[in-house]
Amino acid sequence: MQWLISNAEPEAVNALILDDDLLQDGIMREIMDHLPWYKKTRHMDAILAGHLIHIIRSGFERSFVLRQMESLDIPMEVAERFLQILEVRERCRFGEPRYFYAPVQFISPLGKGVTVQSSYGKRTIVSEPLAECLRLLSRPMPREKYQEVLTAYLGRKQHAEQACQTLARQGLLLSCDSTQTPVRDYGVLRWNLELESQGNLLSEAAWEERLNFLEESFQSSYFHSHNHYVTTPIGLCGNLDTIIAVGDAAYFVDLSFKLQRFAQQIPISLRAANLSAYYSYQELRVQSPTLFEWGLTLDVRNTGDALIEELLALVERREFSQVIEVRLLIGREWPASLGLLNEYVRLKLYSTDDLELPPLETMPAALRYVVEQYLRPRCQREGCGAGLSLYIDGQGYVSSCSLEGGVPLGHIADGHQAVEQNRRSLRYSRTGACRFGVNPDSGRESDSNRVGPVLLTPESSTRLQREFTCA
Amino acid sequence: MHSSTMPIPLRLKWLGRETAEDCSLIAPFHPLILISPVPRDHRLDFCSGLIPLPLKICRVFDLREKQAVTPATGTGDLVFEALELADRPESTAALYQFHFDVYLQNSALRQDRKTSDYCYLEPFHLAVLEHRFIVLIRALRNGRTVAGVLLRRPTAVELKSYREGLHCSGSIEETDLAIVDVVSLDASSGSMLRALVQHAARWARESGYSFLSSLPVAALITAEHENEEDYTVESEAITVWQDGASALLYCDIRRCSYFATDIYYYSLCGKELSLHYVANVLPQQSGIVQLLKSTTHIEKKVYTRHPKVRAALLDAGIECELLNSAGVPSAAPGRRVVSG
Repeated sequence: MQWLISNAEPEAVNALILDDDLLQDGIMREIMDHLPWYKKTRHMDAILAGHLIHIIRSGFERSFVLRQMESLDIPMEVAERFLQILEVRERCRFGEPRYFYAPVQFISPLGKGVTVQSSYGKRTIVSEPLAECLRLLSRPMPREKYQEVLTAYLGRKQHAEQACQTLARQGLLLSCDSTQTPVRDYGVLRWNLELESQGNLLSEAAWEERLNFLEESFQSSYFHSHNHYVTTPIGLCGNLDTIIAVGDAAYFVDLSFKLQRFAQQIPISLRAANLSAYYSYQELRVQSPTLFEWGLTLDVRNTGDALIEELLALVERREFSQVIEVRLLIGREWPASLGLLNEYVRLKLYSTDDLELPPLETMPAALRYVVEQYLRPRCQREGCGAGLSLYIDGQGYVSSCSLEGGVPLGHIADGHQAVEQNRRSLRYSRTGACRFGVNPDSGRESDSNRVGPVLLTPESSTRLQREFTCA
Repeated sequence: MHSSTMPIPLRLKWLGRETAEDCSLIAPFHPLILISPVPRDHRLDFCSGLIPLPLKICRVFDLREKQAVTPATGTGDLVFEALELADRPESTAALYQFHFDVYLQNSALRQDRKTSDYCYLEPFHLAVLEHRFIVLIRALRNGRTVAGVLLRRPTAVELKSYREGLHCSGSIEETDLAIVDVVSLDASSGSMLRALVQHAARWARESGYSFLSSLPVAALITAEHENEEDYTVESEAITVWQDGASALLYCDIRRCSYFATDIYYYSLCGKELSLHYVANVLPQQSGIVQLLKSTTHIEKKVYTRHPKVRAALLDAGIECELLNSAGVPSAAPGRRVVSG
């Protein structure tokens, strides 16, 4: 069996091989030329690349990679040639790495077989003996040792090899040489822009600077330059009181023309320390273009339930039918009225402290879903690193996070290249846990109801950065 | 993953006086509004800043000039063949085969279409019944037809427009003019369009036609695929409009300068036609140079807010007005008031 190994240094678990440079270099052209006619639609190269980056990664067995490519309507000979091109360009090679691991999230019985949910999203049904083979591989194991364990379980070495082969061809047995966390980086996923500067909304000239900077940034990323996003690429933020005092619908109409080239929907989240301007805010929201999705950010780390109660009193009057999005920044204490608030608004929860989470069983189902989505440890998920969602403040300074403690990355006047260089070094220096759980430093929480502490310091803003600004 | 598309233009059909009110309400909030067709006595009901547009625009190539048609290059493994459509049952069979096997397949793969390509079936049938089709130029790859262009004779109404627009010394007869009725392309074939049209032009010239007209396109071109339809054959083309000023456009050039793609439109001032082009991307990424150089006999104005684009256009010999952040240039048609 031949396993895909990345030539990138340092080696990592399930490292990506199709990086942004290769894509920008037009590596998809070969595949595009040989796609069947019905697949040659507009933007197919970016759509296909979006799928291929998950398939052509280190650790997969060669026949599995080829079969996955074939399932994307790439002819077998073209897929073979594509892999050869990658080898010639010294991005990868095929061989036999030291460790085996199983990318399995859960295993549950289904009739006579067993369902196995893989970490890369694929669900497969296997026989009970094969499922047991996977259970035996609960953590990375040297190749030889795993085969010994399998031989002991299955009785014969030949059967152990067969089991390995079957699992590998289904993408359920992966290999690696190092347990280092990989870095996935296709550029900035989202730019968060501050709407105000020194108590005023950004001027025409300030927007011009930002638009030029963003255009440069979008052009330098393969997926963004192809208008292909995993998350809304632009977000706006500001202070509720300031925006309401100086902003009007005409400003946002004009802004919609400037920003619509970047995204179909642009969220605007306004920070609110009190909600006295709530009705003016709602008026502005309904008057402004539908390009913008208005929401509120409430920092209740110090205020506790008071701000939530105030908002509840306002939304319960139901004078505005459209549900808004509310992002809550919670401290150590769990606000009691979240369940009720969740009935009126679309809630997003973020914690920057050692939050004491009540037992999930005591929560209403809708709130439990929100908690599961936002507050459960994001371990075993790749991409927890910083540098994916950057913030441009009112003065044009770029940092890794919109909250205090964000790592400074430069000024937009320095140009995109300079900021990108800082961003990359930040991104590569702070990676998160591996989604396959192979990395022993993944920081998986033993108590799933407890959220780990996240300090707002430049050194450890990684987790907050992802969870708060990249949502 | 998802992608973004530009939600313009919003088209409003004239449905009575209330349309004017709706238009006045929406115009300041939406990039572009096209209203068609509006009775002349109702034009004053609308907000200011509306520009009269011709309904359709054609680009007519004078085949009498020998240099008009140069051989196509870079078509790779494509083979072109012309199928003359005489009044025979085989011709009709070939036409239907082209419609179902090539045209419908190719149009199914083209995204972002504003109107359904299935609407073409009616005019197609009409032209078949009236025996208007002259020739089908097919492009074959590995024996399979992947693209084609259908030429037809003009109707009496069209012939009148062409006679007025072309200002020829002699009279233009039905047999002098071939019109491209449809061009169907494989989505992956970038250079095929020009090659197809060049083959059609060469065939038309060799068959004794004096003019080849492109298929009529809307006077406002905003999206990439529409840009493709306004093709040229590397020579000067005479712009001919149909049906006079029967549409109105609200266009704020400064706002349009923020779009991700170029946008251009043909406006009418009385009987004078002019071309307005807002360049938002570098000329290498658009067809602006070719379009402007091949468009003759009309006034052309180019605007951009990007100094880089302006410099590139000046290098290509195209005068361009730089829009500053404060507003539109003084002669901006977007601020013109229509007097009725």
